[in-house]
Amino acid sequence: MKITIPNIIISALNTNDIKYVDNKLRDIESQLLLNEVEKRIIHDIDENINLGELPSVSFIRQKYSYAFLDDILEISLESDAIDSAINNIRIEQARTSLKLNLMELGNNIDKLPPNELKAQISALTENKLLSGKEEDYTNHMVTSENAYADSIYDGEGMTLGLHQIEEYAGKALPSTVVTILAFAGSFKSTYALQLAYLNAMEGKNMLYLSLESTATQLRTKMVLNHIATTTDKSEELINGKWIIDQTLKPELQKVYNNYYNDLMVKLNNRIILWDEEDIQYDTFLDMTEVLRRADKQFKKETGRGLDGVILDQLALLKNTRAGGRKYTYDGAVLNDWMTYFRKQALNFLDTGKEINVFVVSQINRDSYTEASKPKKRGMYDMTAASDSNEIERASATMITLYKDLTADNTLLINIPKARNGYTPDSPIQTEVYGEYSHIGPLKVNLNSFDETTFDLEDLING
Amino acid sequence: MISKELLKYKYGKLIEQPIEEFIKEATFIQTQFKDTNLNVDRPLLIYGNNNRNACVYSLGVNYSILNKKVLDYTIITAPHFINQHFLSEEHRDMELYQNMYYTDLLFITISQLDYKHQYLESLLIDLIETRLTSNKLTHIYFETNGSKKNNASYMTLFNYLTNKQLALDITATTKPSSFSKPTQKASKETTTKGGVKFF
Repeated sequence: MKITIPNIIISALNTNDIKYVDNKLRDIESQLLLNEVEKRIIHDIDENINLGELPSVSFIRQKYSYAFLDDILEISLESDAIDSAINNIRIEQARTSLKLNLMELGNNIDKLPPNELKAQISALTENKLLSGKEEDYTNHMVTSENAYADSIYDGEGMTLGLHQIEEYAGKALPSTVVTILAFAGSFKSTYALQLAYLNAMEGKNMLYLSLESTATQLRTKMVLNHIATTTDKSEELINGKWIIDQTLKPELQKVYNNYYNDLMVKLNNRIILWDEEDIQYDTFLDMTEVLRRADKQFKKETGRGLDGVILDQLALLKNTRAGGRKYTYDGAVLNDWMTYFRKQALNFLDTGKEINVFVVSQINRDSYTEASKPKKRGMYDMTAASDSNEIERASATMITLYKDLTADNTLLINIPKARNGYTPDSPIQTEVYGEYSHIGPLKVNLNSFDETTFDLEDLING
Repeated sequence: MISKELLKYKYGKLIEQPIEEFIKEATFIQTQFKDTNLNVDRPLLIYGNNNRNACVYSLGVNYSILNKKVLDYTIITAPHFINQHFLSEEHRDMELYQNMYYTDLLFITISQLDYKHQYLESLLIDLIETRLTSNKLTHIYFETNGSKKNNASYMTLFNYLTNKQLALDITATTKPSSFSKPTQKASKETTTKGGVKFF
């Protein structure tokens, strides 16, 4: 039975697995020589995949039956035979190519000078059929003149927002996923937004995908955070509630407007903030298109592509089709999304570029109850993530946030996983001001506090 | 470096009015704390006079600064502790109970007016020792109520603590007394049949 490329394509379509079909089409395109009809079939299927669907097998058969004799298109292979079939055709094509090259050489042998003959014979031996070897793999375990220079990352990683966190976990290096975990209402989005802000201020291009809050709400919070981070005057601090209740006094409205424009100038188009109105995210292809669009926009506006993505939050992808295969439970969908984002961090849009990915995710209720006990006091561990097992595996760094119920404005931060650092023995304590959308000390409070000569009166009254 | 704001948020609930009196009291206690050259890794017996909150505030802040971390604290009275101890788990305040064992700083208030129970002393000593094995400090605040110290009620406990280090005396309070002191009587020792002395 002769297997052809259309047979392989039909066999892949019969699996009804969009991701699998996509992968096989890419394999076919990269490994085999295609004629025009075969290219057209693949193009048709790609167009359907972009819409999140697969064309039916009978549609392909009927549309392209004119191009094939007999019932070639009726033959379908089992899925575990497809890779072997591709290899089989590759070998056949290599043989055919060698045959043609040998015939051509034979015809020209009287006309070519010796060195040219030698070169052509040498080229023939590169045919995969004759060389019989796979591509050379890189060997990383070799001596080096400057091993230290080879080991360090050439550039600066992304900030994690607070120097206390970076003391343990280091900065976020490209190609890594950082997961931000907290229970409901424990400042996950506040922290994620602050990361976007701080990294954009350092010149990184950040895409913030908000599936929960609107872009307008987040933009407002970013302005409040900008005020809290930069102002020396406590009277300029704006409580978010005043904006929601529309009770912001006229003089403070002016302050807000000034800081808003100051923020936009300083950010200089380095943050793209999209909410669910702006994007489609039902499938991996949708998300890839979103990333491609953002990358293109950054290149146009800043001259450089995307450096980091913040997804807020993972749980809201549980009802999507993701990779298109059948999912029997929510966790499987989210596991696939984590794998997708990890791959994007390692190889952004298949360009070889490495980026940072920050994923916001939820802590499960049992872990919250456990962490609320005096013995644990805000110390979440790696298993606290509720949404997906893949979070633990895919993340280079996991950062958990816990609002201390025994003290106002106090946030406890733990780092249960730090691939490039180490975990603290007890949670990091920091200030949090939800009303100003700010984590960390306020600039207005950054007066000196000498621990050796401090005055209790100053502490009580100050 | 420790955050001044975090210290304020943690210990601010202890501040009493009038605030100037509280500041004087806390500052006085801080001075006593520094002058007495205490061992900060050992439990402490504190003789106080209606200044428990100022004591907890002052010591809590100082210990936090020494540890470079804002320390949690719990305050409990000895009678409440023993009452909790005898309750079954379903009736016990588990959060408070867990706090007693795991909080960074535990202050237990005792007073000569407490109903004395011998078992209470061994429970307290056991609690202090258990916490010490986890490097957590427990301080006993003995409320003298403005009268002379009477440690006869808790002799065993006090001996245990003073064996670890000298007691801290903060009874020379800066506040005016909030109740009238008993009038001076001619000294007259009386004893029970058991031989325990009373003032």
